Amino acid sequence: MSITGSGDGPRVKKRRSWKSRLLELLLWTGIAIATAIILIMLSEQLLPSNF
Amino acid sequence: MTVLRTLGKFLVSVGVGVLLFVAWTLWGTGLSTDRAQAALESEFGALPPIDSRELSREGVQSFKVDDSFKPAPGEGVFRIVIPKIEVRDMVVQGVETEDLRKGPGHYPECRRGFNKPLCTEQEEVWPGEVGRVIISGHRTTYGAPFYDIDLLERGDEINLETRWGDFTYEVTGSEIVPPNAMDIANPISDKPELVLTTCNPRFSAAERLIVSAELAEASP
Repeated sequence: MSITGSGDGPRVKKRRSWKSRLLELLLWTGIAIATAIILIMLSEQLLPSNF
Repeated sequence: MTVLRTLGKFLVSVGVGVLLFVAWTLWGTGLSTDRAQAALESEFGALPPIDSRELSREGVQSFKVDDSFKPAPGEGVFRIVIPKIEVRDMVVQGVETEDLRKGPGHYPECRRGFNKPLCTEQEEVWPGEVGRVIISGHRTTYGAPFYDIDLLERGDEINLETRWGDFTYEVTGSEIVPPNAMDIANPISDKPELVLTTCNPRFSAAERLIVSAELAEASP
């Protein structure tokens, strides 16, 4: 936790736990891998036969 | 702000996914081809020789392979060796997508297992025979066996090692044709010829690159 100051008085900024950050990273990694898998499955239609 | 940040992260993830797909297409597909080639090489080495007889018509030396040789789709039929561009691959029977995933494909005649338009109504031509041996191969994916065939010049050697002998063809020229030019798949010719076809330019299928060669030497 850190405290930052401004004209409106101090604001408390909560730091996210490492578990939360890790989960988010896994989510985005999963989306990237899922995108690649979908494209690979579609590749027979996307790529010409002798590319 | 949170929505924009989340959308940004989502788009970055999708972009990374597209890059993974490109990497798989360019390099990953070659892994399955390497495995298939290793299996084909090992099977080919164990196969018995095939009978052929020598013909000599109007001074042109050629051969006729036993008519009973009717390989199935995807079966290894002979080896292609192009020293100049360091190609050494087993050629499979057929030019369907599944066949070309294993390696370069020999254009087949239309019979059981081979469907139009990726086959010819004419009798298929084997190395050493009068007519055109037509071999199609990937330029970018699945090991890209024909990646460098644009470097072939008149006189360069292309060796076809078969179960009925070894045949050396010499390049006579090359041309670029539209992708729908079907006349390149015509096996009829009055001399023993070889045609290699692939996509052109690299990483595109906008055109087809055709390399032609003629039989120069035969060692049955």
